[in-house]
Parts: sequence; C-alpha cells; structure tokens
Amino acid sequence: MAIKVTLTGRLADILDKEISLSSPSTVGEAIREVAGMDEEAKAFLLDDEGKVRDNIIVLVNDENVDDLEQPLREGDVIFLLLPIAGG
Amino acid sequence: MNFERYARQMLVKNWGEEGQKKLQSSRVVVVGAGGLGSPASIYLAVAGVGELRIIDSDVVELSNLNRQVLHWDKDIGRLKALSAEEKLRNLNEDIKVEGIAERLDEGNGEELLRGADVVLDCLDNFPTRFLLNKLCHRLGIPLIHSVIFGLEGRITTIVPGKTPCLSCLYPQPPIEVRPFPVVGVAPGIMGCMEALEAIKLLIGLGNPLLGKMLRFDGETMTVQIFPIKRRENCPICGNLH
Repeated sequence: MAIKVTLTGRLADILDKEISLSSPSTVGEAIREVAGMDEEAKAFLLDDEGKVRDNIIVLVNDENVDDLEQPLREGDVIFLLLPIAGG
Repeated sequence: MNFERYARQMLVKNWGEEGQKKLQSSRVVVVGAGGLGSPASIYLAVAGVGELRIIDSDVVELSNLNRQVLHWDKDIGRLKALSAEEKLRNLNEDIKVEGIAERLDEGNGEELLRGADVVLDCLDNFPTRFLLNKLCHRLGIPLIHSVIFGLEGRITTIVPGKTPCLSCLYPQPPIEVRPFPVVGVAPGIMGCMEALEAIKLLIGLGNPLLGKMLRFDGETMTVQIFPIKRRENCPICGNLH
C-alpha cells in the first residue's frame, strides 16, 4: 500500500519534501515511520514519552485529522505541517 | 474627507465611500515590524486605515534587509518602530501612525492593544504569539495570524469565541528553528494577505479565513485551504462562545 507523505518546514529540509511509505495502516503509524527515519525528525514529531506531538497539523487528502487511529487507504496523501514561527 | 487617493479601491464592489469611512475610523495594531509587519503595515497605510500602531522593540540589522522592506541601509542600528513610523507617515499623510519601541509583555500588553479593531500577528516567535493570542482573547479583538518558513507561509483569521485560536492549533510549545530560513517574497506575500484579511474584517467584505488556514507553498506555487478545529478544553478559548 503506497502512502505519499508531504513534509513541510524543517522536516522537509531534514528528510525530503515528499516521501513514500509502504506499510502504515493508520495515520499514527505513518507519523511514527517518518519519525524513525531520523533523530532530529523524531524530536519534531514525538514527545519525550514517544507520543505524537499534538501541535502537528495532519491533513489526509486535505482534511484535517486528529484521530491518529484513522485508517489509511491506498493512494492517501498525508501532509504533516509542523509549527513554523518565522515572520 | 478627500477620497481621491482611494478612488480606485472604492470602485471595488461593496467598498465605496461607506467602506472607506470605516477604514478611516479604524485602529489596527501591527505587532512586529519585520518581514510580515513591513508589507502588512505598508498596505494598511496606503489603504487609508485611520490609525496604525506598530509595536517592535528590536533595532534594524543588515540581515533584516532581504525582507523587512520598511527598513533601509540608512536605518541600520535604528529602532524598527521609529523607522517604520517615519516611512508609513511619508506614505500617507492622512493617517495617524504611532511606532512603539516596546516588547509586548504581560505588563504592557493590554494597554498597547486596547482600542484596536484588529490586531496583526507579525511576530517571529511562538512565546510572544501565545501571549498575543491570550491578550486578544481577553480583550475580544480579532487577530490575524501568519507565519513563514523558507518559501512557505500560513495564515488564519482568529475571532475570539468563534474560531480556533493559536492554543487550539498548538497546545504544546513548538520546537522553533532559529535562525529560520526566509526569502523576502514569502513574508511579502503573507504580510499582504494579512493586510487584506484586516481590511475585509474592517469593511465587512468577502469571506475571511475564519476556521480555515491558508497555506502558500512558494516552491510549487500551490495554495491549500483547509479547516482547522477548536479544542473544547482549550485553556484560552474553551469557555468563550
């Protein structure tokens, strides 16, 4: 199952703007898979207890999702919007 | 009042003399006179917003000049609030401009924001943004929020008790990347959008970004608009209806 994840902000600089995941079955699993790719990315995505940070805006097919257990389907597109602060 | 300066914008549907008078009698507070605050305040000034208050405690540095278009080489070392006040007064002599070289804090915040019809978040850090969010909710003032990073920008319009607030979006203090990368046109575009949202609120025009966030990606020239949600247990706006 191919899931496309678009990363933004610092996360895109660390990893890539678009990455493809093959196995996640839920939104939460997808975020953990991305977090597992890089230590700095992990710090942005997971808190000290390993929970997904609740200051990330998660879009699945342009819908704002806050249920990390939401199942993913083939072809879903995830956007992970980390907080950005510049001005 | 001489409307000649504003004649072309008054041709916009539902603007007219009535809309222009609303702008003339409005007060907007712009917090931050940097990359977002420069274009935002320039366009509010030329549109004829009657009273502009610009708050910034920093001084102009050379590395600001790729984006902070209110400040020029001659202003390096000068307080941004005063540099901004001078330029904005010269742009439009019809309006009142007040530059305040103070850092917004718990002590001075309410006094600096009181009386504003709209506040613009043109800051560059989250701690002051959270304070601004709290103060605007306490005073019941709409807040236009924008942020940028590199070629990306985001904006939403916050109306206390009606829309999600910054604490709904970011319940935990975010990890900030400093110094953040920025190409001047990104805050240029987003600052202009903030000015437009403020004008729309003041005149009652069009559809502001209420409960929605607009994300501009300059790398791909794409714009996304997606819904954002209030949190019932939000400590800032959870009890406002």
